[in-house]
Amino acid sequence: MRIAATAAAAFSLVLALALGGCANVKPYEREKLADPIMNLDNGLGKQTLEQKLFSTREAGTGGGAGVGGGCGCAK
Amino acid sequence: MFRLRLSFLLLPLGILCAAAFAGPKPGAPAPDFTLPHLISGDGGDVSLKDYSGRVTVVDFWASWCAPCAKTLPHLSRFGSRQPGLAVLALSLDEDRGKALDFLGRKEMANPGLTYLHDSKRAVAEAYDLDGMPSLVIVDRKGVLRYRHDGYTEADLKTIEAEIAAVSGEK
Repeated sequence: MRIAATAAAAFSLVLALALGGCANVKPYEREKLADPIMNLDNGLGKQTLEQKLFSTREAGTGGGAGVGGGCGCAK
Repeated sequence: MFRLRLSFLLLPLGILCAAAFAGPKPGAPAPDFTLPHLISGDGGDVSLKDYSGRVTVVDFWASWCAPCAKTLPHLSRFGSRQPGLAVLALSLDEDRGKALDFLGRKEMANPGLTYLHDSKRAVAEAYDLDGMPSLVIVDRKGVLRYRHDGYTEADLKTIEAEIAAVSGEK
């Protein structure tokens, strides 16, 4: 019986700590989360650049989100 | 034994309830604050109580919050149109330089607004903001009359109507 009570207490403590770790980040605390570096894009503008190069190589645009003509010079 | 187990199970619930504390609601006294000017930096501190006797809009914004860029010009318009209305625009940027860059880049150092800097977000915490941008309207007696969290285009009319309603009171 004592083992069961200890296990229940330990479980409750772990649960309390785990739930305490699920803190909600307040909207005004999201400065670092809002930073572009946090983007899953894996680098600033990398995806845009890849799309641009893709459209340049394929000699056509419009199928994706790539922008610009075929010179590969537009950002 | 059952009672002991129950108390352990209620512990997490108590922690969650404590975390769900909400800030001041309309009808409650608006928490006072004292903050430095954002733009001049050393222009002396400004307190909310300095504006007692005037209807005051307190807007919370940050350079990293895209919708905040949309509300500031409208609030500037409200502030310029009504001389009796004070609009305090509190930047929540940690870095003052970023906030100044944002204002310069967006050409938003608008008239009608008093820019303050809540770098430690103490005021945001006191008001327990639930969105960005957020604003509160404080009446002439220092009572919080309206709070709005977040932004959509449709909100502007509501905000303007609330400002007019509170301003219209004697």
